[in-house]
Amino acid sequence: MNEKMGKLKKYFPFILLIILVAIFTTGNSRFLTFQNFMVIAQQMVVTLIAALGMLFVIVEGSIDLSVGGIVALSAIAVTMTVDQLGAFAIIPAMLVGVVCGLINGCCFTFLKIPTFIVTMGTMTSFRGLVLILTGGSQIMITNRPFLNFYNGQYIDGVNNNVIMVIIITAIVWYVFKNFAFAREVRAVGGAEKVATLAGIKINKIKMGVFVLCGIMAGIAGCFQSARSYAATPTMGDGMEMDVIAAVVLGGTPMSGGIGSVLTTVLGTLIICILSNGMNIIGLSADIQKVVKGIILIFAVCMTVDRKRMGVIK
Amino acid sequence: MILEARNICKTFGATVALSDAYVQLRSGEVNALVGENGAGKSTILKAIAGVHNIDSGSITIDDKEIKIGNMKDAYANGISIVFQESTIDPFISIAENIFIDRLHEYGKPLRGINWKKINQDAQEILDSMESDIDVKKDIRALNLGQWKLIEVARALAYNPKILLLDESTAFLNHNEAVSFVESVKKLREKGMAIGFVSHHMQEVYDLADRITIMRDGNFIMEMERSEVNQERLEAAMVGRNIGDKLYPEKRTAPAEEVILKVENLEVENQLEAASFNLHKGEILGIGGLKESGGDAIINAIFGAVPIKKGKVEIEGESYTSTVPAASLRRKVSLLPGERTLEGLIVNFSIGDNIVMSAGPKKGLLRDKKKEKELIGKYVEQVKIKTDNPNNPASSLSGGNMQKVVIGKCLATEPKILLLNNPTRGIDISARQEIYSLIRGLANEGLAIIMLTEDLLELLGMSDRIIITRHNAISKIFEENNGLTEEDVISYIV
Repeated sequence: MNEKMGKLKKYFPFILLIILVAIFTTGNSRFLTFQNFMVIAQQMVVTLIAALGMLFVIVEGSIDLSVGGIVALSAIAVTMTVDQLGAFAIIPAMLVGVVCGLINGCCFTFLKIPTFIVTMGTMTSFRGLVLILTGGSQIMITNRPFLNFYNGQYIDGVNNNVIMVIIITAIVWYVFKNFAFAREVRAVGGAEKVATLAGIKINKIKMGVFVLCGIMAGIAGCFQSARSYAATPTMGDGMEMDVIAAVVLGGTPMSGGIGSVLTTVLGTLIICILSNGMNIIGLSADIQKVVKGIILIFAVCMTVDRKRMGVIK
Repeated sequence: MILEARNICKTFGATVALSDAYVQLRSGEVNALVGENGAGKSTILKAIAGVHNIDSGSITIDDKEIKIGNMKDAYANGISIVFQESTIDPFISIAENIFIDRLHEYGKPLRGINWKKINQDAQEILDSMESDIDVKKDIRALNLGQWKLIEVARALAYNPKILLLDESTAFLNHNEAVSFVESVKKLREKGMAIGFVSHHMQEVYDLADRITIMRDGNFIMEMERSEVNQERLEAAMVGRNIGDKLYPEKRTAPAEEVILKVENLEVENQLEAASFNLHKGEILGIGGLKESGGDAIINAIFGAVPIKKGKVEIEGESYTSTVPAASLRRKVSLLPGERTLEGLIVNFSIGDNIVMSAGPKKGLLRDKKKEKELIGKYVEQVKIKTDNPNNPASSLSGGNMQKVVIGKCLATEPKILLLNNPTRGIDISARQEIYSLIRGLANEGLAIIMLTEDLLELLGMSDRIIITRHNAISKIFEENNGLTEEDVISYIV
C-alpha cells in the first residue's frame, strides 16, 4: 500500500499531464497542434524562469510570495532604461531583483521573521511601488532592438525567448546539480540545525537563495515586459501562485531539502497547459482561478512529507 | 489477578513488530520488559492497551479471554497506559490534564467546568499516589518528572488494575527518574499490576519483580528478579555472549602532548570556570547529570554556544570559536547528542550525510570525485551496514545511523573529536562496535572528549574522567584504573 502510494507520488506529475492533455484535446481539437504548443512554450518562458528561482527558495525550506511584485518592478526598470541600453536592459532588471532579494533575505535572516510573512509584506510594498512608479497606467516599450532580441526569431519558427529559456534552464540545472551552494541549500532545507552543526553558514545560504530568486524574477520581468511591449501596473499580479504551483506540481515538497530542476520544468508545463487549455475550451477567468487553487492544494497534498509516525519502538 | 498475552503477532506493513510475543502481569508486581531497540517492548504494551490492534494471539485476565479493539475496551478491562512521549498540555490546569478525555463529566456545554469538583477529584488521585503535587499549581512550574506523574494520575483516573509504563523515564533527569521510580513502587504496594519498559538497566534492577526478555518481536524468557545477573541478561537480550569485551582495552602508553588547553571557560547560566587539558590519543570522559555543565563544555569548545569568559587553546594557539564553521576549520568536530535532530538528515542519502560537513569543493563546484572517495572510505572505516550509500539514512538502524554521523565527523579529518552521548538509544551489539571504533581512533592519535550520561560507559571507555555538578567541574580523575561507580557517584550528586 505504502509502496504503491510512493510510486503514485513519483509519477503523479506525468499522470496529471496526460490527463490534462486528454481532457483538453477532447474539449477542442485545436489544442493538440504544433502552433498551440509554440504558444504554450511562449507562455512558459516567464513562469519557468521565476519557478527556477523559486525552486531554490522552496528547497531551502522557505517561500517567496513577492516574485510577482519583483517581476513588475523589474519590468519598470526595463522601460526606464531600454532606450539607452536596448537588449541589455535586462541588467537593471536583474539589479532590481538583487535589491528585492536582499530585502527579503535580510528580513528573514536578521530579523528572524518567517518568510511567509516577510514576503507577504514585501509583496504588498512592491506592488504599491509599482502603482506609484507607473502612475496606474502602462508604460509602452518601443525600442526595436530590444523587442527584436527577446520576441523575434533568429531561427525560423522558433522564438528567441524559447531558446534563451532553454539555455537558462540548462545553466540552472547545472548549478543545482554541481554547485557546492546547491548542496548546502539542500542541507539547510533538510534540517537547519544539522546544517549549522555541520559547519554550513546558514545565513549566507538563506540570503543567497532569496537573492537568486530575485535575480530570476528580474530576468522573468524583462521577458514579460518584452512579451507585452510594456510595463503594466497589474503585471505579475497573482503570479506567485503559478510559480509556486509549478515547483510543487513537479514534485518538490514544500517541506524543503529535496527538489529538482527537471521536475520544475514539468510542473511549469502542467500549469501552462492548464491555463492554455482552459482558455481554449473557453472557461472563464474566474473558473480558472478556482481550478488553479484546487490544483495547488492537491499538489501540496501529494508531495509534502508528513513525518511518518514512529510506528515501532 | 493475572493478565496474560499469548502468541501476540503484529505487523506494520512489511515490518514484523511482534511475531510471537508473550507477557504476564500479576497484581502487586512489576514486570520489566527488556530487549534491544526494535525488540517489540513498546508495541506489546500498546497492543494490550488497545492502541494497536493485534493481528493474532490472545489476551486473558484470570483465564478469561478479553477482546481489546481500542483504548476504551482496555479501560473497561482495567488497563491503562502511560506513553513515552509527553501528552501534557501546558496551557491548561493540572486537573484538566488529568481528566482531559472526560471533561464532559465535569460540566455541561455552555456552563463551564465545575472547578471545585474536578480539582477535588484530581487532588484525590494525586494524594493516593502520595505525590506532593498541589492541583492548584501552574503546571508549567512543575518539572518533567512531575508531568509524568500527572500522566500516571490520568491513567489512574480510570481505576485500572493494570498500569503500563512505556519508557516513562526516558526524558527525565536522574533525580526526576529516581523519584518517579519511588512513586511506581508505591503503586505496586497498593496491588497494581505494572508493565514497565525502560532503557535504563539500573531502574530495571531496582524496580522489577520479574523480567521479560524480548528479541526481534519474540518472547525469549522470563526471569525472577533473584535469578538475574547482568551478564545473563545481556546475553539473552542480544542472543550471544558479549562477556567483558563490551569495552575495548584502555590506553597503556603515557600521555602524549597536550593538544587542547581550556582555562576558566565560562558559559552564561551553564558553566562556571572550567579548566582542563586534553592530550593526543586519549579519551577524556565527561560524566555528570544531564545539563550539569558537560554539554556546555563541549558546545562552547565547538562554538555552538557563546563563550562568556575564558581561554581555549588548540596546539598552543588561542582561539574562541563563535560558529561551528570556524571550529571545523580548526579541525574540531562534534558528534551532537540528538542523532536524528542534530546529527543527520534522515531523508537524505547516507552519502550526502557523510560529506555534508566536509563539503569538498573545487571553486564554486562540488568536488564529486572527492565526495565519492570520502563516502567509500568512511562507509568502510566505520562499518556502516548498507549495500548502497545512495539509500536514505532512514533505512538504517539507530546504531548504523550513528555510525553515519561518526563518518560525517571523521570526513572533516578532525584532530579533536567531541562526542555527545555517542551510544544513546543504541542497542548493545552496535554499541560494542562503536566503542571499538572510538578506541581505534584514539589509538591513531585522535584526541577525544566523550560526554556521557551512562556511568558504566564513562568508566569503561575513559582514560581520564571529568565529573561535572551544578554547572562546574567537581572532580578530575587523572587515572582510570579500577575506578568504580561508588568512586565517582559522590561527585555527581
